[in-house]
Amino acid sequence: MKVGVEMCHGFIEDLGYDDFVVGFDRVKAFGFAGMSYKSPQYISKTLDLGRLRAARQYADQLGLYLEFGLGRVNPYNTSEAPDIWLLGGGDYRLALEKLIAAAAEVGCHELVGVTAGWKYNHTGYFRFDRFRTDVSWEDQLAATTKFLGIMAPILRQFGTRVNLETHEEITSFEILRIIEAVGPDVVGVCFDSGNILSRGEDPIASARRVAPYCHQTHAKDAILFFSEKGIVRQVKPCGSGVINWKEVLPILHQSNPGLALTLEDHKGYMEIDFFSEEWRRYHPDLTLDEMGELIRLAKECDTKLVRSEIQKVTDYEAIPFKDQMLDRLRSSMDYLNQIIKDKNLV
Amino acid sequence: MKIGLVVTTPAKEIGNFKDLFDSIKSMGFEGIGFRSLLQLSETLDPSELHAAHQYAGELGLFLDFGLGWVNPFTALTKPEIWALGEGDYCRAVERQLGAAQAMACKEIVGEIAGVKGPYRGRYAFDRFRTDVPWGEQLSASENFLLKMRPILAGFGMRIDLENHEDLTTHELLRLVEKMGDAYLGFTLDVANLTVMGEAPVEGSLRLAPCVHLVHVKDIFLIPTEKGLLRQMRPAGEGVIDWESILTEVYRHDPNVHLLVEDHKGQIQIDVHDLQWRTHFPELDEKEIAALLELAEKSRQRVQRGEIEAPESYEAMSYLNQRVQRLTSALNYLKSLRANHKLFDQV
Repeated sequence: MKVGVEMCHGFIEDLGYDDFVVGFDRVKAFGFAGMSYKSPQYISKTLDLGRLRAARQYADQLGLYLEFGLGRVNPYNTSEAPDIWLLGGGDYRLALEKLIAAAAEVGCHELVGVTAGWKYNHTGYFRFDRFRTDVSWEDQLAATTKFLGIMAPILRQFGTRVNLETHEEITSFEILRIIEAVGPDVVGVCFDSGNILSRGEDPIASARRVAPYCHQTHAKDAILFFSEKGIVRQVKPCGSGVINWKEVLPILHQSNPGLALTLEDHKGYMEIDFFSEEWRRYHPDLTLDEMGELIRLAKECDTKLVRSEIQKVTDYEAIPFKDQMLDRLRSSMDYLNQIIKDKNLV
Repeated sequence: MKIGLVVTTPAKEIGNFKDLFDSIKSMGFEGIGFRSLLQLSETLDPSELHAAHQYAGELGLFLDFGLGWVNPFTALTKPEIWALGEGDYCRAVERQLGAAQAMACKEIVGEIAGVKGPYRGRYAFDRFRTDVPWGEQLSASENFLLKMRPILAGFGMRIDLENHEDLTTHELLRLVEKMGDAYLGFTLDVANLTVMGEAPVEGSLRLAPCVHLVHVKDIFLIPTEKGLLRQMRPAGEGVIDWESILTEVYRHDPNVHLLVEDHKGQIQIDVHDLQWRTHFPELDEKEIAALLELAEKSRQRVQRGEIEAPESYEAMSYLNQRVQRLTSALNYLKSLRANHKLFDQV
């Protein structure tokens, strides 16, 4: 196991994406083992193979891992990714094929796939495509499964797998059903340790479920606090939240010893409205055991908050992410590396 | 039967709506078809809309509106509509229906898809999307329309789905069967029928019983290696048999609104291409033959010197021809109406 960083969440915001050399140098200097980009287009907008190969070569030279994402695989919202459509001249399948081929050309055969994006313009449930009123989430999952089925021969041709991220709109239960339908050779999981909380999943139980299919990760931690409607997730550096990494990492390691833990850190609350009948109706796979465990973890946080062992949530959230980013990343990296060392998860 | 003009000018460019209404009135049109209510008020402000409606009434102009997408696969491409519902698309549609009803509209245009600007050829049309088959888009649209039916019933309104360059008459008729003709009708765009390999008269007669709005533009067909190329002409200057079509449409709805929707732009209709044909499983060879005959008629009209040859016609800038084209279409339609006594029946 190794610890790296997601490049599209602020780490190189000041540098931009034009020069991968300075970006990789920063990753190396910070002490990370590698990095992940949301798409090969962050290295080359036009997927220029010369540039992609040079990036791979430089990453190898520095001993850094390099991972990519593929983008949207839910046809109900692919229209929100116009850059990808342009890549295929309006043929979305061709666009993804080009991305898959370009990534494969530089040895990247595990790609993160997402089923939606966070909707900044809206509030409450409408930030998540799970709660769209014009189409049910079940229909979106069915369309996603069909689309990945269409992509399967292309993925097999390149020996590539799309790892569906446990994004904020989808549960691990749903991802596993898609894997079952399309095949674990072409669809896997990108385990986002923070997002599974938002969908009411216990991190350890969720890690156990996805471990055999998990080939990429987004590592983040969070505390949980009570609200009128249930509990709320506040993102924290790894080791400062409710996730029991000493349990979770060995579970993931057992199935995939080479797994990269890619830090995808940011701030923000997400509501987990266990007390709302409407919210629970949108989560048919929710189990009493996992809901109970999250409420227990929230109670633990509550006790610590009362004792001021955890900083008051509003005070912590008021500090801009940029001001804390490097400290948070360092603390996360050191914490996870220590567990890897202690548990011999090499 | 009244005759209006389609206006696509965005709200920001309209300025004072009174000037726009005055200019349309002075051209001799009897009404305006807006693509969206947002052209008159970006927030659907009741007082702004009321003022427009009142002024239109003073001038004796009717106002028609479009609702935007009823296809959840394309819905996300209009964020301005989502904003009306603060992320709840059904609510956004409901708000538009309410605002239109307050202006005495009973009929409102709905669209399943539209031409996608940056792409060329087939990929400009959602029918040819590679991430989701057209059949699934139809079924998602049907589900969405059924969801909106109680709201339409409450407002006493009907969505008139435009055939556009995507929907065949057969598909439209099946949708109306599911929805009921009290809630779903058609905005007939005769020229667009040909893009799907349907003959103008035959296709229009199939839809006529449920047509309540008509988009009017004429066509000139040019034979190509793969099939036909469609060029746009003002009504009466092409090869569409408007007399047969409009008398039949009038027979079913004497108060139908005709909306001149004029523009330039050529579309390829690949009726000889087997791959293209697989996207139109209900093609009728007799109608293809009718289209080929219209191409021959187009050629003869040029040969007889009745109309301009297609190459030189297309080379002229639309803006230079606009007023002449609109006036010519309007005069043609008015004289057809007078000859056949197709006036409104109260």
